[in-house]
Amino acid sequence: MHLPKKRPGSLSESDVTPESVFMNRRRFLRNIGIGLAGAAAGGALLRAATGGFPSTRNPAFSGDGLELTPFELVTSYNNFYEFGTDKESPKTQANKGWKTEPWTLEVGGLVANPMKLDVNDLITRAGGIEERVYRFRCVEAWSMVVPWSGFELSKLIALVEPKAEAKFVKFVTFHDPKNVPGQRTNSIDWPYVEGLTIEEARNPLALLATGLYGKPMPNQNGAPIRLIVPWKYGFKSIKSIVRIEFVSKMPMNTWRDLQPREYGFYANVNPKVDHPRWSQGSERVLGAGVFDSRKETLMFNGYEAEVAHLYTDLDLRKWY
Amino acid sequence: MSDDATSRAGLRPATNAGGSETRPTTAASGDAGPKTTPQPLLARILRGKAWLWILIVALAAYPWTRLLSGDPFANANAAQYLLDHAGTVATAFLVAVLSLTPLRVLFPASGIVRALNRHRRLTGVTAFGFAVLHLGYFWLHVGGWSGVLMEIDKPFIWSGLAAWTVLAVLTITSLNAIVRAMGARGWKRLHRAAYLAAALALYHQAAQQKEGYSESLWFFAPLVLLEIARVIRQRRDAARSSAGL
Repeated sequence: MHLPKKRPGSLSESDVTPESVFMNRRRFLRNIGIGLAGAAAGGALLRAATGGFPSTRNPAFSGDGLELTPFELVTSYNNFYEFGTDKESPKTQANKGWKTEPWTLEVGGLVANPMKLDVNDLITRAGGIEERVYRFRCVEAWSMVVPWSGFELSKLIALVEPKAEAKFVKFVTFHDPKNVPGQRTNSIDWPYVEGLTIEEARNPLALLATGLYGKPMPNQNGAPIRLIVPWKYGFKSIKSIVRIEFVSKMPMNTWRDLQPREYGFYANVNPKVDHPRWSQGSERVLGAGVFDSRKETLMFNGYEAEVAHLYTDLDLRKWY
Repeated sequence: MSDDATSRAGLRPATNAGGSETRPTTAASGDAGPKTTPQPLLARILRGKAWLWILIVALAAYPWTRLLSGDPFANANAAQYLLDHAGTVATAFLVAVLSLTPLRVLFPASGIVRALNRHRRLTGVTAFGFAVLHLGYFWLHVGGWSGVLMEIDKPFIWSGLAAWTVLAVLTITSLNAIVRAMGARGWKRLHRAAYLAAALALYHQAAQQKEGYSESLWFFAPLVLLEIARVIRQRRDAARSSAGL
């Protein structure tokens, strides 16, 4: 979005709170508060998909016993190839010129009620957002713990009513090479795509996240709306979604397309199945010092109780 | 890692088929002889070792300054950050030392190229020095020997360890006493293994990338181009000398 340069603290026309939020006067006032605080902090926090904030933490996902990864690290170490193949560039590159507001999301394919709507309207229709603390494990063997804000993907599924033939859900990221430097290179085949089985998508853990640490999603973390599937490697959790499509056949996903021997469709966190170039048995927790030891990786990233039943008939060594 | 070491060890650099005779008076003998042409300022600075030592210390210290200043990117995955940095610098120095010979063949009259060729041993040993740091950081990153053993079956890892081993041998045999004991010819033959180290390092470097090989291209394509140009030049010179021109 465009930041007011002349008068820090003032809001431009694009900052006008959507009507859905405006209707709730109390929430509206809080949002303006966040907006002003964000503008005062140099605008870094003023982002799209402000709908629904502040979010309250769902006690079922309070992250008991988990140590949150500091906000500064979560927002400074990002795999987002659209803004550079290294993990340092996205923080700067995603915050100059790339607009995440307004943001339209299209949901279609094999559904009874296809829709195309603003992300803030979607938040309203999904019944608002909540906060959940999840582990996040990258295929590169690093991990973090993040308080995400968002709503269950199953709520969106209920809104569009998939047909019986819909067996998979395909997710597509934006394609905007004019404003997005990585998409002017051919490092990967744009736009980024991902997929889930419909059972996975309906799992209560699957989240459409619109923020973290109680704030709207920073651009480098996939503003304004991204997927979070915490039992899978991070690359499954596609960022900055513009289209969700219900399909009958297993969709291709970007990393599997690039390196099918290294990245699969399921990509469940599994300490027993190594990546060809590194072991998956343990991980580095972000923020750990040079001399700190590694943490053991848990099956399904610690969400075995919630998701193991989805894979009882699947050879996880073959379907990595 | 070649003539610099042999000349310091008190040996005349060996002339090998094709290459060295295109060189005018060697850099090694240039120390004693009177200067006929005034050296440009840059070449004069580059002749000394000070700038190279400053560069080496700065490169080794840089990631630590970022870590200790609390930089969030560096501290997010600190061991990985140090590991990547040392590996990148080691690769750069390996490419640099291998570039020195083709540069000397292609630009024998350049004062800058001759100045850089004075630092062959230090450049090569620095490549190994950063490889030592790289392996040390890897050891920390994977959690000690058990972690190293877990990874060693992967081509990505053993290619790096193999390159490391070659560089270790080349570094040890660059001690003056060993250079003298081996003789210039034997030393030179052994030190062609630097090309093997580069091939292994290229594979290792390319394998750590998740997509494409653009980073490897940036490192190794200039070296390959220099080597091609060098071979063309040496063939042409050899043809000329055999024709009696």
